[in-house]
Amino acid sequence: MDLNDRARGSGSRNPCGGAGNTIKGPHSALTDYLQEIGVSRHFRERRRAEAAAAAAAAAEPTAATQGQVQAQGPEQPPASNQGELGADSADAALARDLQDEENEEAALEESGVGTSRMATRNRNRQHMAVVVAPITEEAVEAESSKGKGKGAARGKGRGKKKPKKDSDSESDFHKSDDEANQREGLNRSSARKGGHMRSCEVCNKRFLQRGEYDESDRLLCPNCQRSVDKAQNEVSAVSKRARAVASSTAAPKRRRLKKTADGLLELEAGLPSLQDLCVRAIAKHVDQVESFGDISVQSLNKLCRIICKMRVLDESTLGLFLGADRTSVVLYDCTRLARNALERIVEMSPNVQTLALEYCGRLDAGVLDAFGVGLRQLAKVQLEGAFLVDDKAWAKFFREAGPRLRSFQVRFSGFGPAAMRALITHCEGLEELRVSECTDFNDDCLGMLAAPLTETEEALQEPERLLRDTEKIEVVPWRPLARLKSLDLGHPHLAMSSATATRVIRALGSQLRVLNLSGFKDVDDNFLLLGLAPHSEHLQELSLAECNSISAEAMTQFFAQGADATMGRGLVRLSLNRCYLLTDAVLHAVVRHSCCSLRSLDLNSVDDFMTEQGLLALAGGALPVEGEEVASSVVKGCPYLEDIDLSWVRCTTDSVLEKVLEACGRLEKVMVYGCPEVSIFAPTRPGLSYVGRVCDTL
Amino acid sequence: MSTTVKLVSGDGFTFVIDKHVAEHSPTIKNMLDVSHGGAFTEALTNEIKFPEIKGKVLEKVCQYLHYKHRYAAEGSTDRVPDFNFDLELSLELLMAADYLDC
Repeated sequence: MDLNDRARGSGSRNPCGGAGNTIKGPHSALTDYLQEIGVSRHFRERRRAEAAAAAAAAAEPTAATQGQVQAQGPEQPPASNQGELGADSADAALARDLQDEENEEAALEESGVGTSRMATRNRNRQHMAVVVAPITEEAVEAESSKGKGKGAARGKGRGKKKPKKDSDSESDFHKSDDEANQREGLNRSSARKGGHMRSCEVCNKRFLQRGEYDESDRLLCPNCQRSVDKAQNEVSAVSKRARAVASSTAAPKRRRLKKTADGLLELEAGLPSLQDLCVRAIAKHVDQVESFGDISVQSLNKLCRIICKMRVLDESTLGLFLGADRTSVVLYDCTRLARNALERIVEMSPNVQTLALEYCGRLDAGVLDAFGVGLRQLAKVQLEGAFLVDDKAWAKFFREAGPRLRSFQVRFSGFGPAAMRALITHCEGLEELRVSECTDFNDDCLGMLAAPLTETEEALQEPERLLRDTEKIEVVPWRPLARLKSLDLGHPHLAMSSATATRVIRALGSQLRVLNLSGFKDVDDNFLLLGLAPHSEHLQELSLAECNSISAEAMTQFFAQGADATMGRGLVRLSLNRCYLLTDAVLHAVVRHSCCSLRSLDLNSVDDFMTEQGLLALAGGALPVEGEEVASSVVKGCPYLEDIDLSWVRCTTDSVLEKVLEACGRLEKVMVYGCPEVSIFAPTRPGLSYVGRVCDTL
Repeated sequence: MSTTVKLVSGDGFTFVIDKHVAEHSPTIKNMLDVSHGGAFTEALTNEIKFPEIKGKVLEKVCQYLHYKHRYAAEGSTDRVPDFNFDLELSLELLMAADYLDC
């Protein structure tokens, strides 16, 4: 390290200074570290001072010398620079120095904070000055430019002031340290220097005070010192100008080191954002929730969203959303909540009725068990991403909590046959079921929703019996889920057979309001026409996304048949996402089926056979069927349509949209990803937004 | 072309600040942007209403924007004072900060 210091030191002797002194030689990790916090600061300040001087040189050609004192940061009023016009004498400089200091001190007094901080800085400056003086004098002689940098003047000035304060016993010690300091490689606050531990007068923190202690000065820690400096500098307009100049020409911003709670030093890039500051404050004072005042449920929910978006929902901030009076706990990102944090939910909010945890990857069987046992009021459960929970754990959970559950939604979990069987057995009151993207969910599980065929009864009973292996309890015979109104089995990972689906829909279809069979690639026309069609009286939301085995004719027939029954008041939401094979006729039939009720239509990628005629059906251009009275409502199209997804339906053009918009007065959102014909001139109106237009991308 | 912008809080307080300062919030910047597409009303009138943000909170936000304007460009990051606010404000301030993305 010494080698490097010397290298740097010699480099800095170059009177031109500045960018020329790049560090040469090997870098140890320590060197880099020092460079980061120590040396770089020095260079930065020096460069800034030089820049300030260079800028001031526009008024008068003053070149800053390399002997610039380290302590002279940007706050130094360059008034001293400008005032140095021509006056070369050290006395004048000294007088000016004293004047400056007095000014600073006076300003400090005004700002109400003592002068000791100033004095501390002065002291430090003085230390610099002693050593700086001999070198700068050489430099000054070497330089041809007139006027002198602050450093030289101050060095000389300080040199004169110094002996007054020095005590003999310490002088040598300090001098040698100053020499060490003078080597530009070393940070002023290097541990080698030594000093005394003092307590700050303002904040009572202990800090290491370098150098001498002047009895008459107030003793302030570096943080308080800096605040005072800043406060003092706000008084001086000139310094502001210099800062503006300096900052515009300064070297690239160095990152500040921040000590985190772990004691690790963390590099902080720039200023913390207001969101960061708020979250930090909240996290620190989570226990004093009362001091936050009354928060409405919506605000709390919004807060939770924000905190989860910033990925800072963890043990400390969790407390904000729990409490004995909370009936609903909805957390959007539980990645940082470990097992014990999740179990805290049970401890702190035992009365929850709604529990929704997304990204709860760390939730395991034990936690689920705690939920089942501890949350006696649990009625609605939504767990996404609980992949550690396996089949048996679910079954156990249903045994405990099943009878209470009214809504159960799970995604990406180990939900399999045993769990399904337990669900069927225990959750009689279930109204809403969603099992989506679970790798163990197989055709048998699907089959359990319908009455078991005699030959498979035993097989279905098997998982349940296995679970009850310790007790010889009679396995409850199958019962249908009589209250089920909403069934979502979207995107299963294993193949689902059409026959099973047909059976299920025959059993449950009539009671369902919401049905989502996205990703059931194998369900075919029979399912639709023989299974769903007769059993969809109450169906309001239907999703047959990716059901590519259903032909367009069958789809048309399904809607056409249903139109008589529904009289236009059919579905509220329909998704035919990625059903590539559908034709115009399907859309016409859809309009006839649900024109008066349809609010949301998803035709993403229904592109192969779709033409403008099909889309115009939405605008009232439905082709009348031969011999049939065209209902007047149909002619108008879908007036209640609010959002439509026409992504990748390449026949969508501006003119089609115009007609559709005319007919659909309530349309708010139109998704048109991948529609090259939709241009910037597509018709708009207040309240309508296009998502995914090619011209909207930056 | 004025260089100040008026921020109106939900409870009727008005804050007039420099445009350069206000544009430290990307949300506000986009509202005042006239470069591409159509200009929003806010850009034409130089007045932005925040019906969901209270006066106290908006005041703190303005202070933060000034704080950011002052210290963000500066090189010596180790002399920047802390930005303080009351704990009672912190929740609402978080929501406002999230909306303004600052």
